[in-house]
Amino acid sequence: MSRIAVLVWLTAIMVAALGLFHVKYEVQRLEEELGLEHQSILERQEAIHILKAEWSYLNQPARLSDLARRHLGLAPMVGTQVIRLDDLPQRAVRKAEVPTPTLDAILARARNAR
Amino acid sequence: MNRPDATFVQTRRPLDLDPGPDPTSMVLLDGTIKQCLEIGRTRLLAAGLIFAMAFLVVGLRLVDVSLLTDGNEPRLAATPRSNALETIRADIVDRNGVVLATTLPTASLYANPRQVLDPEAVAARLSAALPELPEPELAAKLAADRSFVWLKRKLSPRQQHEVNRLGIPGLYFQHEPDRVYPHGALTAHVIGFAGMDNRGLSGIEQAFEERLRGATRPLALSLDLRVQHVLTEELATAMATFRAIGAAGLVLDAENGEVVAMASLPSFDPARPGESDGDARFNRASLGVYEMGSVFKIFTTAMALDQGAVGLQDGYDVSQPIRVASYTIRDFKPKNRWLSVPEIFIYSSNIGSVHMAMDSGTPAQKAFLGNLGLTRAAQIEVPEVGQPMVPSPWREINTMTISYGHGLAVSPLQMVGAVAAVVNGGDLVPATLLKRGDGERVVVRRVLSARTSRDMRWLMRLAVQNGTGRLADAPGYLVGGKTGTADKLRGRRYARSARIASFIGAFPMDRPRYVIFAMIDEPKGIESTHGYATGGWVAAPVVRRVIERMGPLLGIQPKALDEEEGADRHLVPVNLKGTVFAAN
Repeated sequence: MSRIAVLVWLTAIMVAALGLFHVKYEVQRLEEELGLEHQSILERQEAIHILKAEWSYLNQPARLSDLARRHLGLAPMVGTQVIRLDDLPQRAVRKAEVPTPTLDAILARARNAR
Repeated sequence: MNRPDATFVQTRRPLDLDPGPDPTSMVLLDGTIKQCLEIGRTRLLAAGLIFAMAFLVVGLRLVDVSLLTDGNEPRLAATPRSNALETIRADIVDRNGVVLATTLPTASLYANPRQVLDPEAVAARLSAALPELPEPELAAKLAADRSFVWLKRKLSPRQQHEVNRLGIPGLYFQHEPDRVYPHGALTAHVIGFAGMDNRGLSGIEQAFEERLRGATRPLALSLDLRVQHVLTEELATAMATFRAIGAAGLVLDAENGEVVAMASLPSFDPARPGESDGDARFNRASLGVYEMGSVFKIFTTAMALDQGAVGLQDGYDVSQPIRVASYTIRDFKPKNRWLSVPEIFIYSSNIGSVHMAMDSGTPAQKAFLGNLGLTRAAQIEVPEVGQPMVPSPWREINTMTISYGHGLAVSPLQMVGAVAAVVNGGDLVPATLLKRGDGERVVVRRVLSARTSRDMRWLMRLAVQNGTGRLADAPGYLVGGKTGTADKLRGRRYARSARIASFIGAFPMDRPRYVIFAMIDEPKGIESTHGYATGGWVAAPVVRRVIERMGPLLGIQPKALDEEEGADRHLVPVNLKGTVFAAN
């Protein structure tokens, strides 16, 4: 009876020890992975930081206006070019409702045109 | 138990039979021994109880931790800080978040000469890759009997790549942070620059040294880089056209005092401040003080109107020059007749302004200009602030000359602050280079009445519509302003040929949002301006183009041209080109 109990306990202890070591190594591995991830996050943040500076550099207004002048043919807008929605003339008369043509009608017209 | 006083009373017990429990076979104790045993038992009991309690607590906790509590990972784990990149100095950004100054890692090249095998050959190869390093100097450095020598600090990534490609043993890189200004000369005067040790030496970099050092949160300025560019570009164009020696400009938010743009030309490269001369590093917009000329008539007129010394209907005969001591005060373009107050303003009559200032009086002028912040150094974040040159004592002759902008030298920054107070309804707001919150408005003091402010807005608009500032009129934006042309002091005399041409304006005049100042230092007249180099010909067009370009950028709705007629007017006699019309 007591022998069985001893066996049971020994097995339990071994299982527990194995489990413990397994968990320990797993945690170690995960921590290494976490460290690497943090490392790469920092690297990426540094890259973003540098890219932001470069973006700001490339967006120098003088450079942009030079590019716009050479490639877009645009000139600075003046106040007289701006108009408010209210200043637009109203549409004169509302046309009488025209029934939407059916697909057959459109095809027929296309065929006739040809 | 072997104490001499212990008494054992043992009864006799026969060995051949089991007597069972013998009521008499007891150890009878008494006296000191009994007492000792009693104490021992009590102590054992107490200790046992305490341990039992402790084990119970441990057991309960064990059950709690292992069975009852959620068996997951702890909810709060200490993670290494990775969400914020550690820089040794915070970025500086403009009001829209554009990076104006940042800290980037750079590589510095050093060598361990003891590990360099052939200094001559290495020097030759290295100076081929980095042409700015002279070969003999390199060879001498590499041949030294030391274990460390700097070869070049702060290489560009391309240079680092070149050196790496050579693959020379004994050369190493040290990573060092370096302050980088992506917009270079455009913002150089405001931002300033930092030295080799990344310590701020001028401008915002110096003023906010403590705030920037070791911080990660960027510092947001009130500058708008786009407006800064527009202002700088237009000033540079005018400077080139009129062969001027310098220029300065400011754009100020009239409501809350934010400096939207501050430019001083010539400028310098903040990455290499040592290579520029002192004149380029000098901030004309905040450190330079100048006699501003006729733009001061804004203050003279506002003062006279606010104190009731004159009304809009009043006027003076300006046909006679004023002689004081050895001076004669004349008009630049004499009208030789009676002029109303609005006419004096829009035609920029010195004589009329002197009369207005004299009717207000010297103490009043001193107090009024002091209230506008023109007699004390401006309050602004950058350390480069010019001390105004105030006459002492302030005599009557000073009152006369100051009325048209001579004899009191102020910085452009003070100028825009004072004009903002005149046009925004009468509140002096402190100028700032830091971005303010939405609707945040700090008022130092009230300097004139809302009514005077309204009159001044209208007068300034009139000066642009019909007066000396006509070239500043950007259609649709209701520009108002005043021109100024001041002869520069050369020693103790005014020089006729060297002058400051300026224009200060605000727009839109029905509810001014921005005050704009442009100043050109020593412009020379050219053919297209008929040889004139006055504020109206030189500085006013700059302001017009700046407004035309910044208006759409900042989303300011231009007015339809016919709507201008509805702007508030007063019934005053204004004689324009011979026809008297009553503006209403």
